[in-house]
Amino acid sequence: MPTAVLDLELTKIPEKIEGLNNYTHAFILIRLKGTALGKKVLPVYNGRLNRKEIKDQLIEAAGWPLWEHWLSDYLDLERSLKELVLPSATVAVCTRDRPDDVKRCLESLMKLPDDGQEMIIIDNCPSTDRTFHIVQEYPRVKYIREDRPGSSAARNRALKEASHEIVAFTDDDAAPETGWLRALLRNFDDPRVLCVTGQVMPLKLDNKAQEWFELYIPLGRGFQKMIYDGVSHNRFNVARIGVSANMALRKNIGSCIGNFDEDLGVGTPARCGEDHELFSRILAAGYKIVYEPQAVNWHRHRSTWRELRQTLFNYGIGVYAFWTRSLVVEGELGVMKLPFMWFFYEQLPNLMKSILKRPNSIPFDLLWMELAGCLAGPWFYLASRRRMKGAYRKPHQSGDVI
Amino acid sequence: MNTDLPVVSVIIPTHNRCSSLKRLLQSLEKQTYSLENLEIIVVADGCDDDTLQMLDTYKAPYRMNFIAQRGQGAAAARNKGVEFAKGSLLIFLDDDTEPSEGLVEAHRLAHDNNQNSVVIGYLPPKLNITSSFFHNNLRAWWYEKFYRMSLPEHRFTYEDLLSGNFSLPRMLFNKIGGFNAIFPCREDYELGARLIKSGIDFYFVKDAMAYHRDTVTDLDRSLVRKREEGRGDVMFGRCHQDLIFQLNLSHFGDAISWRRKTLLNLVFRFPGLFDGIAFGLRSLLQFFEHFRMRGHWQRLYNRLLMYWYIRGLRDEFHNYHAFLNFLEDNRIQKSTKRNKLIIDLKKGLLEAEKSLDLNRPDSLFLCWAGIPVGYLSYQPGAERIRSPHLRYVLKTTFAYRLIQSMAIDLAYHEGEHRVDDARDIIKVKFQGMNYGEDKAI
Repeated sequence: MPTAVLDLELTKIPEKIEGLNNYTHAFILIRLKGTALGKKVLPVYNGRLNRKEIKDQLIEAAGWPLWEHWLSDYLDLERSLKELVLPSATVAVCTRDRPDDVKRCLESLMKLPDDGQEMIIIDNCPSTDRTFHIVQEYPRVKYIREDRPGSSAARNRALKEASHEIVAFTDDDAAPETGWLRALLRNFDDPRVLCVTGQVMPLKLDNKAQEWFELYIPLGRGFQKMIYDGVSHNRFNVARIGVSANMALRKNIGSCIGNFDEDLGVGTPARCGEDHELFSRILAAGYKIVYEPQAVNWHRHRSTWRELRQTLFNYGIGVYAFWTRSLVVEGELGVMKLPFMWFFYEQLPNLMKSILKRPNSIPFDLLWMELAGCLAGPWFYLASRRRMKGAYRKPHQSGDVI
Repeated sequence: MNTDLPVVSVIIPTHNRCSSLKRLLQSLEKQTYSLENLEIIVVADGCDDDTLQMLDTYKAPYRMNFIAQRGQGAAAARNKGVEFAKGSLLIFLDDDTEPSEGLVEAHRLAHDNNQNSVVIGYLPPKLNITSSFFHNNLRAWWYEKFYRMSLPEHRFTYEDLLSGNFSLPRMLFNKIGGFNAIFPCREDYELGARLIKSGIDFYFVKDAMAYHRDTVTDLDRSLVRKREEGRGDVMFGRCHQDLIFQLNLSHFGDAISWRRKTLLNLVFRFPGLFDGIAFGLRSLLQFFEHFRMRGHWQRLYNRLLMYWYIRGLRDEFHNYHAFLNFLEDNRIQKSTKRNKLIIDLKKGLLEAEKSLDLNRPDSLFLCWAGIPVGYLSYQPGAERIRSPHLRYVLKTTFAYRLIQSMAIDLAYHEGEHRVDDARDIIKVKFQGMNYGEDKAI
């Protein structure tokens, strides 16, 4: 059931939305005066949507945040006495052999309002120089080549090379919208915030693989702004915080609590999990992470079933690799109970529902791949450490560099 | 301006911190404010290290006086310093601070813009040890406190007066009576309470920055200090009866379980025994930290803090019954005349804000075209209401009730005089709410 992805502004819904003949459903991002409020999936008949039919449903789906925002706008409550001065930013995109995605990403970066941000592309172990040539067409963008493998190494290079205070990361297959950078930057007002994560919306939902991805591990984390304070939030409860496809960090996070762990991440045997690991360290040191739902970027989900299975396998490896790393490097015995909690409270019920073929259960092979990834995780992490020839990574001494 | 008299006096109480003090004096030499209008007064409170020799031989480009007194505590030291001060503006700095170059200038500018008020400066911590649970929490606490103060909607309370870096005009200090020297700690909160109650405004100025180079505070010291805070809170309660129920000690009154009450009775009766248990548990904290058991560490640490606080209470009241009587005697407060303001939001927010800033009420009643929205009741110990508080409160606490009132008003105007269920009204009327072309959804 292919689903069209639409971005509708409630005050400006067109009378009829045409051209949806190939789709059976529409995934609608609901906005009011530019603010993203909610999402809804509606059925599409005869290839069109009528405003009269859908408007009420969208208002219902947006719920209370819609009225809160409406009130705020109507009474002009957002006008604050303090003029917020946004910090200077560098936008960094880490990429490897995906020139088409890079092109789309750069196109949307060009549409960001010019606040003096610097833009850099880190090309990680490229096998061709197509990316290099594409970047040449955009004079505002700086090209840097990083030959140490792994997305963590690439991001750490971005942190090193950036010349502004905040580094905003977006993945090469995720295209940010125009308000993205400003939405991220306005949360750095509080000096204790080291990281701001944004919301990731799907670019296309044309086939089953993409829809299941969105359903099972959606990259977006809801429309409510969340502040995770390390003082009160458990450091291992990081799954809901955000994803590295859309985040911003302070450049001097390295001297504060250390950079990304280069044994984890895409491109290493440990596959992913470097973002969870960084969030965990930020919380452990008592700093804050903010999830900003208004910083939206549009991610191209994998379109074949095989890639989806591989993604879930990698996800399982990544989570267990992160836990293994915390145990081995930081001596966190608290990780021991996490696999059991996850298994008994989430993975096992999902498996049972799938085996018994309950309605809306997640396909069994996806769950199985994730579980297989989990079992393999610790070994892959240790292999990654050996391969990276990493000297024993001492836990980084935190400093006050705010 | 009479160039003989200094304009700004910086008062520094100190106790056996010679090198910190020297570092402070040296960084004061680099102030952007003109040094000839600056006067530094150091009060050496019971110093038996090299402090006095250092001060004697210190060559300063600004006027510097120092006074030695036997150990009487920081509050008495500050009062003493003010006696000798000649400047019209007083800035209080602690001896473990390291001011930025613009500190004095920033304080001065803030007072030029806001006469007769208290300016609180920014004092971020620079801790030496940085990876222990205690220090992470401490750093987070300081930064959070200052961040809240920097928000425009913050409502200042007596707890915002931090004595490490603040300034006020000398006349105001003398009029209010200065610090109350009997307090072992909490003397800053006590001064803050008196200032707030007389209607003085507080301002937070981030540019008036000094680093707080705290090398002494650690877990054990925090437990000892908590005991002093217990005593301080009792004295505070005696001086300010209307604020008793804002203090921690009010949580140990009658409304606790009988188990807790029994425990409290025992602690009051056999302090020595429980002190021993507390010391034992303190080493358990180290065990938890070594094995990174954060949750257990936090819970045990909180319990230990509570224990030492109760010990402080016991220092003032020798049995639990006397403490309960103290709370009971002050439960019924004499009611005093309060300034209440009623605002109709339909007349416009700008009007409402102007009215608030003019009247500065203690309590606020909000309505929309006569339909009640909410009530901000009198908060003892907090500043009187200002306009930024209104917008914040409308966005958060009263948002739902405001929309309800707006819907009822709209329903009324459209002819439905009987309002059966506000929720139905909201559902139906919102959909067609039409307060002007561009506002319609």
